[in-house]
Amino acid sequence: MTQLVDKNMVTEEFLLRYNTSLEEREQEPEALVKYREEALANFLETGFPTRKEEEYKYFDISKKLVDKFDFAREAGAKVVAEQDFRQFLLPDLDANVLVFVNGKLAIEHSKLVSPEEQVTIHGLAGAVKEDPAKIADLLSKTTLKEDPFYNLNASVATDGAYIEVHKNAVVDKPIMLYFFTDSREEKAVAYSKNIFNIADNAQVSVIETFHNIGNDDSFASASTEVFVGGNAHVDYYKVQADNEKAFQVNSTHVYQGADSVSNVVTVSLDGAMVRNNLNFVLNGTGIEANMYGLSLLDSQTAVDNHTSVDHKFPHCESNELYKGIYDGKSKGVFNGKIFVREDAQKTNAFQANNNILLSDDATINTKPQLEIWADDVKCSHGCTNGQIADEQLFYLKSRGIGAEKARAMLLMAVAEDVVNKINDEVLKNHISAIIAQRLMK
Amino acid sequence: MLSIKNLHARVEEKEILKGINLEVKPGEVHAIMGPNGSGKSTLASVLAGRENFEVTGGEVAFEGKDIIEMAPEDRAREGIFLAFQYPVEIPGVSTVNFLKTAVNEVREYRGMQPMNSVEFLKEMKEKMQLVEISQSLLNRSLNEGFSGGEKKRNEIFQMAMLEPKLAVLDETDSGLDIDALRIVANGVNKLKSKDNATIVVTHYQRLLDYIVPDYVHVLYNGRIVKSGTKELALELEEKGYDWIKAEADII
Repeated sequence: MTQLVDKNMVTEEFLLRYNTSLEEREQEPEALVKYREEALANFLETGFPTRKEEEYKYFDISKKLVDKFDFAREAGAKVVAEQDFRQFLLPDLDANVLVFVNGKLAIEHSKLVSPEEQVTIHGLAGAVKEDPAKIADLLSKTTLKEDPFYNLNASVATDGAYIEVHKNAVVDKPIMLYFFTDSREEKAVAYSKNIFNIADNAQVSVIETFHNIGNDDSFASASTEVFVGGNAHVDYYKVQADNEKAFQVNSTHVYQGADSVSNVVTVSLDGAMVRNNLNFVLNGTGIEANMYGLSLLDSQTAVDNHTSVDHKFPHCESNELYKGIYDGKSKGVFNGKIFVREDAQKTNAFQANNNILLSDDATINTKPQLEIWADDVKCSHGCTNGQIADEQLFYLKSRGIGAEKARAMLLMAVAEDVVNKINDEVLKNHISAIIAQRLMK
Repeated sequence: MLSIKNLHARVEEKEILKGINLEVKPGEVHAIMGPNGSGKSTLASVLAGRENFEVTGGEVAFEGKDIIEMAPEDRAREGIFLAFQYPVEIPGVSTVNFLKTAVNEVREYRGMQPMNSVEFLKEMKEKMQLVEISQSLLNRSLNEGFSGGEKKRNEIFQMAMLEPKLAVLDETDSGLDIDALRIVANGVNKLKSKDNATIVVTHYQRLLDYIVPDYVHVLYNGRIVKSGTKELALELEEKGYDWIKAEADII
């Protein structure tokens, strides 16, 4: 493998580290070790993605990560006290809570309130110990393995959330996942791998947030596989409001069964750089896949949303709405791929990406990408980039509303289009309040 | 109340108003008529402070204050209201929320306590009857998907809520059928008092059957070329604008 060393920023130390880490995992079931080896081989094939790669053309995260972080070592498990992260907790949310610190489950801060008949919630490491064959079987169903960061994560992440919603169960309380990186003593690199295994006719709502405790650099690599059973329903909310030292690459792959519904809402408010890869594979008929995103960014924050939805069967629907409001020197990227395969007749696929640039230094790169092989489908996409409409602003001002407030009202309306897709009232109100405060400042 | 002296204004490089003089006193209704392109809507926009119009000369005083450099929101707070010819659609902002914000910003400017929700709703219910506008319409996004008539009624409803001293109605009648016209005019008439004034900008005499003006001015080529009483409007209706143009062009 020597010829691969230094290819796209992969060093010899790095290789040594990961080969050793694989050896350490010999107690894992063979299928899982194979999954990791395959992922590592894929990663070494590509190295870190550079801007020469089409998928990372507008988002130069690799160079920054390699410069800042020592990938040859993983941050160890840290002990944190509740007071260290209390400020990041969502107030008034009655939920099942899992807390992860540097990628490892902190059981002492976690609590489950929903009955075991509805849902089994574990750390992934615990789930592997308990039923290695089941986890290996789930991972063998994954098909999306191109992304280098996904492969990097897959080769090393050992813990994360394992959520198994039982057949016909409606989970009464949302599941809240807090991922903390602890950079108080040194830079933190944390990997987490989540699996949501949602059985037929089940229903569940999951919320995740990432926060860097401390003021040094942190990198959170998260990867989530969501298996949605037939006629099941999942709401998955991602709240990204980390500090200016926090880097994140977040890959989510949703594999949906017939007649299932999934809503994924990504709200990005802060951080250094965030890359979201959100992919849906529709493995049946009658599926609804909804993806909504809001980027409300300022200063130097950069957020890249790459999404794809793969329509493989007839009578499915996908709805995508991503909105961005960019101020300061912030940077946004949107790429939305829609594939409609030959058999996927009667597909409805809609995509819209609307961006407002509030400053001359903010940038947005947006690219819709539709590939349609079926002939009896309804697909549309639209993208707008612009400023606040002067006519609207004047109308509000002409009624006595001050310029700043008028501007905030118009931007709030843009943001609410996405925020209103959040079905959880507590979360929705919380996010609305943060946004209102930000816009009125 | 309003005193306009030798007002010149342009949009981009084109001079549109070329010396307007107009005095409006409390309790009066002035109609401004004129052929297309004469500068009627420009005058309305300049009074409200629309940014893309540049005042290049003259004076505009509202209650003794020079308003030319005043921000649009401050003009509104001082008591000037423009009913838009083309009300703007604002998705995501409900009319109720928008108006409550506007009413309270104006009250704050005038040193009054903000209205609470109960007071506001009571006030709203009262004013809704004036223009026969429904609650369901007001709960929707501002003007979004409203018919032409609904938009114009919403303008007059906003005027009723904001209780301006000077209302400028910019072609509020255009595109309205006779029932909608009656409702809108009726609303305007009910809001009339000895303390406020109205400037009605219109292309059609028809509106003036319902909102009876004290004075009628004819705007042509950026100037008021003729002023008179409501009989002038009837004469214009009968004879059109050509004789006015001919007279003005000779001068």
